[in-house]
This record gives sequence, C-alpha cells and structure tokens, in this order.
Amino acid sequence: MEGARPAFAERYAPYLAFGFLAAAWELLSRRIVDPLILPAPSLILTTTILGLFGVADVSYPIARHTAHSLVLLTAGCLLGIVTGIVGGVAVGLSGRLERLLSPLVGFLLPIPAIAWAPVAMVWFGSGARAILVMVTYACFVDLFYTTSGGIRAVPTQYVWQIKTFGARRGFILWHVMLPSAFPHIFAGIKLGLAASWRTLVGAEMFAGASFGLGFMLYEAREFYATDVMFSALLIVAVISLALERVGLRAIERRTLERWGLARALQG
Amino acid sequence: MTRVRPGPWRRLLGSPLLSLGMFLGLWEMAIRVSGLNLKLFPPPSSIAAAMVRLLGPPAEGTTPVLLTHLSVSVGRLAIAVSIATIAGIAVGVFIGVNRYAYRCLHPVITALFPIPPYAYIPIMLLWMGQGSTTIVIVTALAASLPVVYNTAAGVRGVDPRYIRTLRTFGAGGFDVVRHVLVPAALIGIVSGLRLSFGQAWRTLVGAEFIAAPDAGLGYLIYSAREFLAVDVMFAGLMILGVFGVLVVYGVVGRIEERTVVRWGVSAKPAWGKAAR
Repeated sequence: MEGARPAFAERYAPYLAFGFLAAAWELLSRRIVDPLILPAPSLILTTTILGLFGVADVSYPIARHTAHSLVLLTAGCLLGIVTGIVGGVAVGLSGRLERLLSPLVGFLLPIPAIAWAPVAMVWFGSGARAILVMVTYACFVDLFYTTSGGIRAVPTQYVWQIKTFGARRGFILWHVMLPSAFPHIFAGIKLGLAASWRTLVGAEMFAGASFGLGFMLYEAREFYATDVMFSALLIVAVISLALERVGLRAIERRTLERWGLARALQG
Repeated sequence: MTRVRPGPWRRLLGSPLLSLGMFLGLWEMAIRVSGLNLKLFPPPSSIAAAMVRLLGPPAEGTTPVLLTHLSVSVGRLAIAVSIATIAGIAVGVFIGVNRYAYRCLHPVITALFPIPPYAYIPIMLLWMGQGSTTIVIVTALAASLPVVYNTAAGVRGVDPRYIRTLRTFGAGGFDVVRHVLVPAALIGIVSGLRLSFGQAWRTLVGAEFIAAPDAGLGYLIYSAREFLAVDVMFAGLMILGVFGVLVVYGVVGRIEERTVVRWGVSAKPAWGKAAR
C-alpha cells in the first residue's frame, strides 16, 4: 500500500497537521475555552521550561519533582532487577522451590501492582517508602517470572556437555545458564522497567507521596493549576518514550545484537 | 536431568495444594507467634473471615457488599473495553488505509503507547469530575491503544492485490473494509486483546482509587485504608486476582480459541502470564 517514495505532500503532512492542531488548540484555549480547563500549548511549554530551569521560588519546582521520580525509579528498578534475577535463578534451578512457590506466584501475578498501594501504605508508611516497595515489586515480579522461565528453558545438552569437561556448578551457572537465559531476562527487564514506571506514576498519586511527577499531577488538580498538570503529563510522556527508545534500544544493541541473540528473543 | 517418576507420597508432597496449605499455615503461625498486630498484618484466617463477611449481605434482602463492588467494576470494564474495541478498530482501519492519516497519527500512537494511563486520571477528573464517566473514559483510552496499533498494522499488511481483486468484482469501500481489512487485522486485534484487557484492568483499579464516588473493587480496597482494614484489602486483592485470571483466560482465551487458534495462525495459548 505504499509508493516507492513518499510524495512531497505526504512527507510534510505530519508537520502541517501538527502545526495546524497546535494553532487550533492555542486559539481555542485563548478565545473559547477557559484556560483552567484546557491551557494553551504556549502556556504549558512556558510552565515546563520555567519549572525545569527557572528560579525555584517563583516557578513550580518541576525539576525537583522530576528528579525525585527518576531517583525512585532507578532505585526501585535496580532492586527489582537484582532480587528478581536472584529469585528467578533459584526457582529455575530448584524444582522443589518451584513447586513450593508456584501457587503463590500464580496468585500474585494477575493482581496489578498498583492495587497494592493501600497495603503498602499501611505496612510501610505512606510516601517514598511505600512507593519504593511498590516500584521494586512491579519490577521484581517480571524479572522473577522471565528469569525462572529462561533458566528452565536452558537446553540440557549445554549443561551435560560442559559437565563432561568437569565444570563446577558456579561455572555452569555463570557461563552457560545465565547467558543462555539472557534473552528471557532482557525481555523481563523491558517489561519490568515499563511496569515500574507506570507503577511509580500511579503510586505517586495514590500512595500519599509529597514529591514526584505523579504527585505533581495530583496536587496541581486541587489548585486548578491545569498548566502544571499538562506540563507534568508532558514530562511523563517524554520520560516514557526515552525509557523505551533510548535506554532499552542502546542496551539491546550492546548485548543481544552483538551476541547474536536477537533472533532468539523473537522465538 | 530427567526426573524419576515420584512415588505417591512424593507426589502429594509436591502437589500445589499441599504447598499452598503449607504456605498458609506458615503465614498463620508466623503472625500468631511473632505477636504482630493482627489488624495490620492479617493472618489467612482473618482474611478468610473478611471474605465471608463481605460475601454475606449487609442486611436482609440486600446484595452482598463484595458482589455490588465486583459487578460495578465489571460493568465499567465491559463498557470501556467495548468502546475501546469498536473505536480502536475504526481508528485503526482509518490509519491503516489512509497514508496521510498513517503518517500523521502513527507517531502519535507510538508516543502515547508507553505513557502510564494513570497519568490521565487527574486530568479526566478535572474535566469530568468523580464518577463512572471518568473511570470508563480513562480505562477505554488505556485499552484502545493496543487495538488501534494492531488494527493499523494488520490493515497495512494486507496484500493490495486482494483489494484490487475485490474492487474488480465491483465491491464498494465498505465491502473491502468488512471482508478484507478487518479479517486481516483480526489476528492482530485478538492477540492484542490480552494486552488490552490487562491494561484496562489495572487502569480501572487505579481510576477507581480516586475517581469512584462509592463503588468498585478499587474503591473497596482503597477505602479500607481509612479503617486500616488490611484484611478487607486482601480480600479485595484476591477477588481482583481471581477475576483477572477469569477475564484473561476465560474471555480472551475463549476468543483466541475461537479465532486465532482455529484459523491455525497461532498455537494454543500457553497457560502463562496473566493480566498484570
């Protein structure tokens, strides 16, 4: 359904459409709709830029909220990835452990991580601690699930072969099992990062935070600071895209593609 | 690594039922022995008691509390997913057919895809206020993106010769959409439904946390916080999990079996990951 080369009009259609849309939106919120309901794009951009780079006392401290979210995300993800891989390897290696834990995991898996917000608030106190636990949990579950599956999927011949050369268990784990399970683990990291991020944004709204982008969205509503809400949404969108595009693609290129494992991921 | 077939005693030891029982027993004992606050750290017995309490009617002749909340949530989910599927297919076909629409909207869809849908809740709350409308709109929005994406991809993948053949026989534009484009995209849509339902389920819970005035599973769990009723939270979470599995494997699995698996496009779905 596509021609050899997009025509001139087709190539520039998106820019035209976006320009038109932005102009229409700007006009709409300047002339017709109350800017408290729908702020103009220019206002959102100004608020964002002032908040990110401006004087902290005058403008909304967007930079601080963003930094707070990113720190929690990084900490939660790292914790979740490490504990998830360790737990997943343990369960993948031991049949007994797997039989013991699989009913519990089967029960926990279908519950959205965000639904634990009230429990986390009661147990860990509302705010950063509860949020960190939830973000870690969201990442942990994905890593746990994919890693244990990846370890179980390691071809037995690999293990037998290296055993005939007299390899010890630690060596087998490090040099055979983990690399072989890596595509699964990497898929888990992708899933876990996305899960952590959305849980973070949700938890900052629901788990009594006093900082963070989710909190910013939530709090700004109470003051009818609609421009701040949209600027928070804008930053959330940018970070979401950046996480998916820049971060993960770069890791993928460095590891999976270089090792020639990219095809295994699709299988 | 080949395992010797375990004897009956071993099999009983390894059965999931027993391990679940053992786990519950350990949990019960650990909390009783450690002297933790039973209200804040409920043992399985108090969760079961809360479940029974919620399943009983609050007064003669009324609906049980849990059923009220569950039916409200399920109703919202059903409406939202229906809207998302219908609107998603329409928008997806449009994007797939019209190359200008594709050029303009495909980047937007790709950019919206990774945004956590929870972020829309406060804005919808501002525009629509508390209530089912806000919850349904946010949930439908979250559920529609996979449908739009997959429909557009499926439509674009159609061999143009099929369309030209149909056209030669005098078919109109709607016939092409109905007999070629939607069936072609259906494979993608059906496999996207799993994603869609999962996304919708968790967005619904999040939206019900703050946008539900008086009912819904999310509301039940979240409002239990005011009374520190962790046992009620756990009962709600269990229903959430059980129902999530039912939705994904019951509804989506059935649809997949009837369509994708029967057409031989994909193998029988593995009993794997659920709606989280």
